[in-house]
Amino acid sequence: MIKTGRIQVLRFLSLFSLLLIAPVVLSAQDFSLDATVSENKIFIGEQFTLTIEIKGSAVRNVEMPELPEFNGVRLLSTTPSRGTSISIINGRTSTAITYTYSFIAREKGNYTIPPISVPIDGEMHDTPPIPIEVLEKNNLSTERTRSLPDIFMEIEVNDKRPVRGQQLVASLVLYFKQGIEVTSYQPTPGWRTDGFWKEELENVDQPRAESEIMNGVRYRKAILLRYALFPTRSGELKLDPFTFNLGVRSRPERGDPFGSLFGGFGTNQRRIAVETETVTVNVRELPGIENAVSIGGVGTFNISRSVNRNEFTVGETIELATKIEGTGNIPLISKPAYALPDGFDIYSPDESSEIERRGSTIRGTKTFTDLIVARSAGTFQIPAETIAYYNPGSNRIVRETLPPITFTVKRPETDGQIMVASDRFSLQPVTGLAVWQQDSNAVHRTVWFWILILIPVASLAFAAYRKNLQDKLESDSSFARAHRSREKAEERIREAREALEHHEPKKVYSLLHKTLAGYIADKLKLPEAGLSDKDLIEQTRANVTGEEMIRTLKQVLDKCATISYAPVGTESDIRIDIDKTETLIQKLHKKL
Amino acid sequence: MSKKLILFFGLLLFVIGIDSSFAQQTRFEQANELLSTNQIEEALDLYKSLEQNGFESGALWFNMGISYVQLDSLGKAKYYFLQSKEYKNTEEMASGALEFIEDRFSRRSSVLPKLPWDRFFDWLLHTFGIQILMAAGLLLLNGAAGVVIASWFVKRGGAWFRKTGYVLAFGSLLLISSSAYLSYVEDRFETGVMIEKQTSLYQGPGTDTAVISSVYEGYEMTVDTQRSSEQEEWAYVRLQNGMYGWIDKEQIMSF
Repeated sequence: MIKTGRIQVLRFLSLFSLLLIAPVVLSAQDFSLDATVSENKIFIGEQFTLTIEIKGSAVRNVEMPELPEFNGVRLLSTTPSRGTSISIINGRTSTAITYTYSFIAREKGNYTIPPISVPIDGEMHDTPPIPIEVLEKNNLSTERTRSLPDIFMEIEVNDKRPVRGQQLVASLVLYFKQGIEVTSYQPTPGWRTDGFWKEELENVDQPRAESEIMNGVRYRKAILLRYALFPTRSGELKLDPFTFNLGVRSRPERGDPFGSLFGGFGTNQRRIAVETETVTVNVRELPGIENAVSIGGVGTFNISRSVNRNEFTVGETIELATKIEGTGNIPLISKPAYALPDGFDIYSPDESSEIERRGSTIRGTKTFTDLIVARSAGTFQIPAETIAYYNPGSNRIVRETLPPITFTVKRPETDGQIMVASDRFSLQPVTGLAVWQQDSNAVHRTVWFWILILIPVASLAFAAYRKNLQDKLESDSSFARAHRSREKAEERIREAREALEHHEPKKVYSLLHKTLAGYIADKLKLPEAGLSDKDLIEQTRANVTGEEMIRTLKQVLDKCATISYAPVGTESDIRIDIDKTETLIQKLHKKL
Repeated sequence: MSKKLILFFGLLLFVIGIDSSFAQQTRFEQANELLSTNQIEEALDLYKSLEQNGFESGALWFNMGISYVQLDSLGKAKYYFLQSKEYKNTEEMASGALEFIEDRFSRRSSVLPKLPWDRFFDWLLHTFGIQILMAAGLLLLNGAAGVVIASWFVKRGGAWFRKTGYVLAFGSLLLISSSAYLSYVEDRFETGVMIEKQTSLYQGPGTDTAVISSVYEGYEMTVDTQRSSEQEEWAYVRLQNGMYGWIDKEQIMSF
């Protein structure tokens, strides 16, 4: 690796002049002084160079540097090669003066190129010290015993034992031997990193090659691409090989009769494909988080929470925004789940993020916006919440407590219309004349139920009675005579009244006699003919109690028997006898 | 004098009758006015007074449901919307409202499909109703009696009349028994709604018995009123997911 010493004279003086010195002085000090070595690790007997560069906007009066004593290395020539270059970039002219000294390493050990004084514009300025290491070629590390190819690539991961969610930097590093020049490179798309969230870091356009000794052989190395990787699960995860297409040019090494690395003579231009090996990363599980809301964050974050206003109306959307900003696995952070108070409709939250990929870390901001709608009016408080994430730097769980948020929800001005809080649906009360009922009656408490029950029952009972009567009348003649006796008697009385109207008194009494005799015979099921009045009276007495009724019967029957030879009474007397007979029939009907 | 007194009292009773029949409508409109001006609690007080006086109306239940939605008491809102759904004139609105609030419950119970037998009787109940079924059954019974009576007296076709009468009697028996069964079910079982946020369903009527399941606001259940009457504070219910158990009566409303 090349170590450089740099005096930031320009920056320092600018700051200084802003505070203390006039701008005129600023222009007089507008230069930088750098010192670099071509290699930091040098084999014994190997040459390396020390370059001192004075760079500024104007040509300076620079004199030869004054070299001190060097340990472990020998200066090959006290006369440096001097170079001057002038460049104009964006209209600004800059001049660079370089002094290059060649050294040869002599003794094994760690040394320092001491500060070198350079007289610039009559004033002495020193370069910073540069550490170097002189190595013995035959006793180098034997860690890697494999024979390395002339050009190869490796995936270098900055941490092989991360926790889940921790950001790793995977550098795709190209190693190539001295004498090989890489003219172009092209990554092959489709690098698989199962189990990782991958973000390409913004790389410098022109990779800078550095020196590296591997297995005792000096290589040049250059980082071609860098990715930020976030393991999404724990366990052993593998990074698949990455393939690069390279354009390389080689030149014959000194003493190499065949010249080219790739078998040709002279300088050769080739296109080759180089592939990395699979890299295994053992991802540890995150420590358990208790009594806090976990967002899956690994890094360093600032977390804040707010609502868009302090006063809302029912049905209005309340935006509860949680902002998480910082460095770490921003893309993988999940929304914190809050315990919201009752009475809210919760809709799908919004999520937005801004990620910066510059440098070697991913940083940015992620904002979660909970969209909630209050269903009723009141004062609500979203309670305080503790959010926890893991900080891999301090290797501990960090807890941040978000304070409670209080806001007020008012009822909307409805102007006589009731609207329920929702964008999708509205409910309006029923107004006007309502259809009222008062405690619905059970069926068995209604009048119609009993009417409809009783009608068939009564009908059936009556019909059954009638049917039975009909059958008996048809089958039992004596019953039929008894059943029809009253009807027949009434008919005869009616005929007697008609006979009276026609002034036929004897017929009247004949009909009255028939009425009584027929009724008693039918009712008592006696023979229809051949019965004397005495028999009738006796039979009646045998079945009916009440001497008064028997006496009346006897009187009527006697009068009927004697009317043919006795004088006929007046019409009123006859009518009385008809009524007496009718009354007697009614009484007998009740008794018999 | 006595005629004038009778006329006066008759008129008085008539006026009182008219007044009482319109009183609930007046109170209902007053409550609606309060509701429209966002005086929800006051409106609810008036609606409840109507309910306590035994007045029932689809519009009353619907507006009470809306009031409870406004107060964010969704369990009670569901209870009243379910009642409102029983009335033809508010059935459609209540169904929409129920669909709306169902979406807002944080938890919903799984619902076991009903047995075909229960579905059939539900259909009978909602399509015809107990009274229509009973009335139809009794009319058929009257018809059957008439036809049987006719079979006794007609000279010809007596057998046909008799058979027709038996068929009608059988039909009437089915309708009357269905109506009686539905009436029994309606009397014994009520629809309950969980009105609090959460409670437990216990194996027995007490918190010292095993917990069978958790019950959340808006869960519907069938309440066995006969068995529940044995306990003062506990109701025996069947949840829609088929689980049976005891629940605190204070946590539910049923109709």
